[in-house]
Amino acid sequence: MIPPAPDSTLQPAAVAGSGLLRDQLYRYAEELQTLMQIHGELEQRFRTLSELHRSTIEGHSSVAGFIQLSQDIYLLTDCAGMITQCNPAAAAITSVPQLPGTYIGDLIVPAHLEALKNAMDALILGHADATAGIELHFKSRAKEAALRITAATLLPARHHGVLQGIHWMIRDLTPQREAEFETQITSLVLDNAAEGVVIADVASNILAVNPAFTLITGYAADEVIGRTPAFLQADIAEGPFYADLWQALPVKGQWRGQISNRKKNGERFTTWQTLTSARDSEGKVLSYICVLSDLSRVLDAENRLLKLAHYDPLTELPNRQILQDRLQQLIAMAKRRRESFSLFYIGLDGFSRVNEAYGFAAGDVALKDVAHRFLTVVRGADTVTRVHSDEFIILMPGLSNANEIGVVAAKLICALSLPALSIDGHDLNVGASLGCATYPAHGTDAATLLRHAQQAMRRAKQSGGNKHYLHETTAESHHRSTS
Amino acid sequence: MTKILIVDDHPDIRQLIRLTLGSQYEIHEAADATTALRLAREHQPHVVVMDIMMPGEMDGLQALQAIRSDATLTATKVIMVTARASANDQATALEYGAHGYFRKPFSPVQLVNSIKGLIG
Repeated sequence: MIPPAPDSTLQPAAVAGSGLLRDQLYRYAEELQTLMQIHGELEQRFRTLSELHRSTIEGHSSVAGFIQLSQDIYLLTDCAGMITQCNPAAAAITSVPQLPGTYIGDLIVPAHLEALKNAMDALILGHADATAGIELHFKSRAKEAALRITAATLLPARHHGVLQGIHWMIRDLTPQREAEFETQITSLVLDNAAEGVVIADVASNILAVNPAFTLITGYAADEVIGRTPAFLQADIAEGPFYADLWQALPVKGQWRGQISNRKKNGERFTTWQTLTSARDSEGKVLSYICVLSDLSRVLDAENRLLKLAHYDPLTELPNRQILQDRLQQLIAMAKRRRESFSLFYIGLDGFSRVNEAYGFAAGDVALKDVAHRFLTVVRGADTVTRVHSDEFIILMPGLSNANEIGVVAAKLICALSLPALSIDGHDLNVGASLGCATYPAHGTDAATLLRHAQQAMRRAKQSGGNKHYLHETTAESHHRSTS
Repeated sequence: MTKILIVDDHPDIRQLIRLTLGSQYEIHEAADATTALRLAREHQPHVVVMDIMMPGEMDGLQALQAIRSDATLTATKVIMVTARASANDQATALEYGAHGYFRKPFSPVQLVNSIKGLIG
């Protein structure tokens, strides 16, 4: 029989305690279950974190390796800019032997200290997560004159989220800037050169030309790039010559010479060209550079000078110098072949009056007319020259017979009178006095022949003009002209 | 070493609490309030974990009052543990100066955390 439920306060401790203990144990079991569940979750989280940690460690060691081997400079400073760590590349930029413990500002040129300070402040004050590409000029190393141009990138160095310092990645831009400067100078020179420049690859395909090339040849850059320079050739005949050039060039490295080319408009022009091959360190040809200067103007000027020296600019007849040359040649040839020739010395009669009456311009026109008329009378082998303002000398190979001389003299005099020389319808009334000397009868050297012919001309003039005299070694007879 | 006094008339409960706390504390045990007061004065425990309902002249609440009125035990923190589901007990215990109050069956985790919290 179950005894009536006793008052709990009177219940024996052992009985009450066993119930409490059981409840407490259940509570422990429940809590154990909960804790085991939490434990499982924590274990999983621990594994994840461990894996993350491992890859972080690996990543960190790769980064550390990169930093160590980097060509770029790595510095770690505290927030005040005091260097605490650096990589080996840092030694390249500064002469300071012990970088850790040095203030970064001491390495920078004074002009860039403000930029440095601003970049650091932006990071420290939290205005920026990173500051990239700040141009900082480092003071030169002891033995070098030039400062080092760098681009610096700043990253915050945090520990537990608190800014502890600054990571600096610094790239030395000096070699790059120097190369850029050289390129700038080169292109400046090319763009402003008076000489045309063509740059071609090893297959002689044109890679680039400068503005002067376009100016000289008439070809724009986009018309020639990718083509070989063969289109510039003036003649097919010069093809083999080009082939020689392109063959010789790789061997000798340079070729200079005069080449006849053709412009875009078909006009021929002569250039002085220097071809150079650009090679790499192993001697392999990388490209060809051709510098061409237009010789056309130079050659034109040369021709003009040559003409001025040997020809009378007014009548375009050969001058005294050519006369002397021809005369010497003629004497030499006549002597060798035992031939003869005649020398006519012609003085215009009454020409000074033309200048006085109508002016020098009119006189010049008249002289050109006279020269023209003489040229129509003489043969191809004859030489007509103007030796003085109104004096002409004509050399006639093979002529020595007095009668024939008379006929030629008459033709020359006639040439001036039929029709009469005139200006604006005014008869100028200009005639000619001729003196003639023949080789070898009247002289066997130039001076004698000239002197004798001149003397004969003077006599003709003294006797009234419009006649000719043939020099006589003994007696000076004269032959009236037939006019 | 931090000293803890466990007061409960039930030896299995005392043993359970001892095992729960582990070996990191110096543990003393008493089965009644009178012994508890004596041991408290003797060992100056950092924390006393005490049952309310115990046989003898004093119950836990009376012992709590005695500890709180003892000038030598001002640093001792007291956590009351009881099977009595009376809200009144909790208010009384806190009024008498208890630092914590647990109802049986207590959560061992919460008890340990509470003790650690009191030790600081």
